[in-house]
Amino acid sequence: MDVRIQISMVFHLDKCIGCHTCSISCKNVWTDRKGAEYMWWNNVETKPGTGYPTLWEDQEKYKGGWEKKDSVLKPKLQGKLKGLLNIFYNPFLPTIDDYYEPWTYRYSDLFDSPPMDDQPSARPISLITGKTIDVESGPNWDDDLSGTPFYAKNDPNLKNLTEEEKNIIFEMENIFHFYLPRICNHCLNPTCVAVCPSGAIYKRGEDGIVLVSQDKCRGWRMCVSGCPYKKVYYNYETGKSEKCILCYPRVETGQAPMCFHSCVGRIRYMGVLLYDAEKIESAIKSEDKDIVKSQLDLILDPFDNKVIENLKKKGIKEEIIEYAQNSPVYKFVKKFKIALPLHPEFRTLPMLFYVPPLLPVKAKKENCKLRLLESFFSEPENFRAPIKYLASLFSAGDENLIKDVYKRLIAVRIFKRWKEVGDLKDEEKDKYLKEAGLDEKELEEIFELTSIASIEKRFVIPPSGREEMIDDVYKFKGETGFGYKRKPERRW
Amino acid sequence: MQILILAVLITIGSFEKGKEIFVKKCSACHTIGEGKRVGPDLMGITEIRNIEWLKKFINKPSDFFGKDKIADSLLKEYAIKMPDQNLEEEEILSIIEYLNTASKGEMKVEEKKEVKISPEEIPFDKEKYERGEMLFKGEIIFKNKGLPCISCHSIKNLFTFGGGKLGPDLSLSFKNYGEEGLKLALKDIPFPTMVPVYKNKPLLEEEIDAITYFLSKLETKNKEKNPFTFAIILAFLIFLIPLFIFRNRSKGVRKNLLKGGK
Repeated sequence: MDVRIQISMVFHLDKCIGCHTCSISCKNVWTDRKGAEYMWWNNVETKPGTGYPTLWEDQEKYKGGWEKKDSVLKPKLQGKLKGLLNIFYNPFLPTIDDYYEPWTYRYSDLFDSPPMDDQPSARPISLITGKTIDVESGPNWDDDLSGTPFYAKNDPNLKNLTEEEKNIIFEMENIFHFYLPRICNHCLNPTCVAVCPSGAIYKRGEDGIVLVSQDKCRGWRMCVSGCPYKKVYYNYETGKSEKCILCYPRVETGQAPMCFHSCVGRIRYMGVLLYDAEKIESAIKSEDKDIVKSQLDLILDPFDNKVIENLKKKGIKEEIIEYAQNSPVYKFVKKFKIALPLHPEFRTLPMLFYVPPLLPVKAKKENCKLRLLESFFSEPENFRAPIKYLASLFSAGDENLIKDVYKRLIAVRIFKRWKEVGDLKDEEKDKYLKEAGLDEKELEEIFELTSIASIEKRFVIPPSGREEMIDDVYKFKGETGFGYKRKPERRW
Repeated sequence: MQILILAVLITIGSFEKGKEIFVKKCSACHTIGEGKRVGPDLMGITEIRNIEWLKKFINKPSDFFGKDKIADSLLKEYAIKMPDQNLEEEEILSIIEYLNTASKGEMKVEEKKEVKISPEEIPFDKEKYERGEMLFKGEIIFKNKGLPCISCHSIKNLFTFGGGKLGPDLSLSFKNYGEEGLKLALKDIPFPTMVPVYKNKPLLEEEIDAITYFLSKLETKNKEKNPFTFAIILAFLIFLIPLFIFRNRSKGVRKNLLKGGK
């Protein structure tokens, strides 16, 4: 057993209201500068939709993630030889149009306009070229299905649905959408790290945050192709790649990242997961149908004495164990099993988990009126979003896994309705609890965690203990804390 | 009238002087009874042209092109403009006298055995050719420090990065002038633009010989494939290979979706 620490995240999709506050706070802190205008380290997509950049889930185009061939796992992008041949010519990159061309407005059109009958309008101008452009897309262009004919219907996750099923979900009374906030998953087996020819991307040992060294990066952009979630971006101004750093300067001081902290819907949770690094190889090589199970098997029980012993042997503070035991992420992912990784089939072992959305219930037409189905609260099959679709997103196609999650989520609602409203019989409540495999105490705990958890319970972030990582603190007096001050720029 | 004017002119001009000037300035392009060279054979020219016209034309032919029918028809036939000579009137008259006398046969033009040698017939001397080329390109400086030919002239297809554009392309110079004409032109340079340049820096016999030989072999050499041209074509083809291999690169998907594609 080789126990390691990973700062992990859970996003509760049922609670996301698509307000983009997370994206804006991230933008204002990290990417509001030349060369990074088009980057959204945190973005909120509407599903069904093609996302940002367009069709990022289509790995036939972008070659992100890993592929298993004869029990050997290789980056889908390329091997070492092909990497060398392609080093000056990365062929699988999204174009700026697939992201969107960032723009501002020529406000002088308003200020300098002469008096006239109509109101003046400011022309949009490209932040890249400075020329006037016609705005055609943006990072949330298909918000609330506004681009349905073009974007929602081309969602790669709909590929397993039949034409008939697809047509049904786009009918007015059945149409659905939910929001999918995305940040870097800080994977356990990141492809961006594997395909970087410069060795510029690394995963921090102390907390598992994946970072790009601005000093080592040579702008080959293999990481952009290699990351299946398209969460590494190329800064055209500095010639370096950039990505979500999980606000590590904040995390190190016990604060939640900006997007977590500013989240209006309080959908975000952060905590420590302990995992067994020895099992990573076997986990990433398991079949698609077993990949989620294998990933969850990696995660260790922080109450297990063997795990605690192993951590102590490594000289890790006991305080960390306490944080791991109180981690909301551990509860969501391992204890209650209601959070799943996004696209686990990419085999990067993402460490950001999602609680799937329950969504509006299905309705039926009766005499030209829409009525709710009677058993709308019971069967996952009655949800508007097809289980197949959600399985494509969160369980590598395993529908049973989604159904199991829903059984538990529904059990919470049934239980609380039984308790608070009192219009359900005890037998009915017991039936759902039995199906979910949860007792009343656990259901209360889930309810509290998902609904009324305080900030201290949502973000259980262990102290980084930077001061303890240095043998002689006086040697670094006046240095530590100021960090690396050289401006990132081309040096070749 | 024509005869009268001619008679007057002849008394003024001097045959010997006319011959000297002709050999020096005209013989590179013209012959008297030996056939066409760069310009027409001038045998009997005093009979077919108006003497006044001839006088003016010899002095400043540039005034005639585009205005005079005869000059234009000559230009059309020979495709090269005769340069202005800047001669004194007395010198022009001497030339005309020499042309008149030589054409009538009163004065015997020295018998010259016409030797027409095609470039292919001249055996290829690599050393001589290379020396000529190096002199042309300025890789070997002329003994008297004259400017290398490439400063003003180019040779089509031979030099990858071309040559000067002030003077004409010399690819066909040997064909136009012949060996003798070329040597004469290089020895007693008749071209007004070149005269001041080489006035005090004449080319040596050996240098003239090498350059003439180099120019004589151009046609044969031009038939061979220029290695530079071949290298450029090869480099271009190599450049096309990655374009072909990665032809699917960076084609955005969004616009295609809007068109209904996948």
